[in-house]
Amino acid sequence: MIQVEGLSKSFNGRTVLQNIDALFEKGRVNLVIGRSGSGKTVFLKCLVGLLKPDAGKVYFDGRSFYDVDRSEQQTIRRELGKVFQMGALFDSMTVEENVRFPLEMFSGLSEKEKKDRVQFCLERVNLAHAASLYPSEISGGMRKRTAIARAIVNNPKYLLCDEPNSGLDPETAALIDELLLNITKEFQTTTIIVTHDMNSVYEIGEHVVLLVGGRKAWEGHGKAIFDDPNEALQEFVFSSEIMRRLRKA
Amino acid sequence: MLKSFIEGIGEYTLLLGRVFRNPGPFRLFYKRVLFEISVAGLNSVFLIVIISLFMGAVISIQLAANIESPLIPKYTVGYASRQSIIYEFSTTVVALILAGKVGSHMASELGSMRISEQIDALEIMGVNSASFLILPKIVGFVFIHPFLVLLSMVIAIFGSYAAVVFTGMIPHGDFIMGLELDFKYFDVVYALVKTFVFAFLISSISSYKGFYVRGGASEVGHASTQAVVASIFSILTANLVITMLMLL
Repeated sequence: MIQVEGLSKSFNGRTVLQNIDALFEKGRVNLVIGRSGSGKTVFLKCLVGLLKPDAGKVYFDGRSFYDVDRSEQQTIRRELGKVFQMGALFDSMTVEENVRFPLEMFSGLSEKEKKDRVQFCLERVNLAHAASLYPSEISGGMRKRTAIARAIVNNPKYLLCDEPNSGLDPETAALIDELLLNITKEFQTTTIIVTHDMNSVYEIGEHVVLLVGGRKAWEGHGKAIFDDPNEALQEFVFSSEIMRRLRKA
Repeated sequence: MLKSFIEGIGEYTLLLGRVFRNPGPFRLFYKRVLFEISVAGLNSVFLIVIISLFMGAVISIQLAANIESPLIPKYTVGYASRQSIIYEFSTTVVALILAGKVGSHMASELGSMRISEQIDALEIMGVNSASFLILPKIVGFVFIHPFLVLLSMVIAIFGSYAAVVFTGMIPHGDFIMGLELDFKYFDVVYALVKTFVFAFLISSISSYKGFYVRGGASEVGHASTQAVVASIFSILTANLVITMLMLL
């Protein structure tokens, strides 16, 4: 479980996040949605210390990330898996080496156990056939799946994803969504996905937080996004022409 | 400008504090050091050989051409070539050349990793990214740089010998006599001390410039240029300081 209390962040006097409270439960797919520039990625970076918030607290199963010492922060980070927007794969390593890397750094597993674990994760994301390829040799969807495999290889308690299906075709995006949902259920992770993909919101969003101008404007279940009367939500959901047409239809 | 310079020194010092702390499992560290030795050192051998050969030749030809007085013995060419090569050419000039080649490579590699979020990915995994990425570069380059300098000394002295002896400007015996004249091991020690310091400065400053890149491809290029300029400036300053401390 990840709990956020009063999280605020500003850059050069411009407020990006303002007093955000949220509770992200274990075994659920939690989504943080909002328009570009609404503070979603900053929110995610503040959760894991890539950006230090100006105020507020972040609790990982009761452990306040910004109040513990550096070694405890490292311990919490080792319980995290993060999927970056562009994958952030190590381009000098093959797909297999990328997935294997967290095990090499931190696990006490034997060589065979590591090999089996990597193989399991690659099969889990349907990438066993691409193990020997370099990131530059695979497609965007495969890069995202490699990043997911690397994020789950150490059995993380928390899985954070920054726009995991951006830039992908609808079919591949749906596959990534399904994969993240299944992984969340299978490994009982606390999953937080930052996205503005309405299909993801509707299909896998069990708990959705909408950010507007750095503030929490709404939260609820993904299936409620079309019917909930919240003005900010309706404005966001029906901001595109295709959604307005669907609404009329 | 002074403020940003002082801030930069502070940031560099803090980074070094992180670099020399917990680089991760030794097996991975060892592999990365070998990789850096290969990238920074072995890939520079050809460049060093060519530059040293030609510069050595030019040094001795210029000396021979300018020493025409019958009062100055011909072995002076061998002696002066040796001193120039050991004192300055193979240490300082080679370091300046490697600051351009190796320094820009290190800065652009780390800068690219920064803007593609690879460094953030390491941090999220709980890896000390500064130590994991930078320490192998420093250790690898500080290890291999003295060998490159020693190679440069040998090749440059051969080049200077070949240029004046094979053309008949200086007899073989005179040149060799000059090379052996008043040779002090301290001169090589002095050169090696400079070598270690320069290698540390090039690798750490270039890594620092690359590690803190903000922005995109253009900023990576800018950081790469800054890394070379800052390395050259620090090499020249360190050269003066070490020379004053060891030779005066």
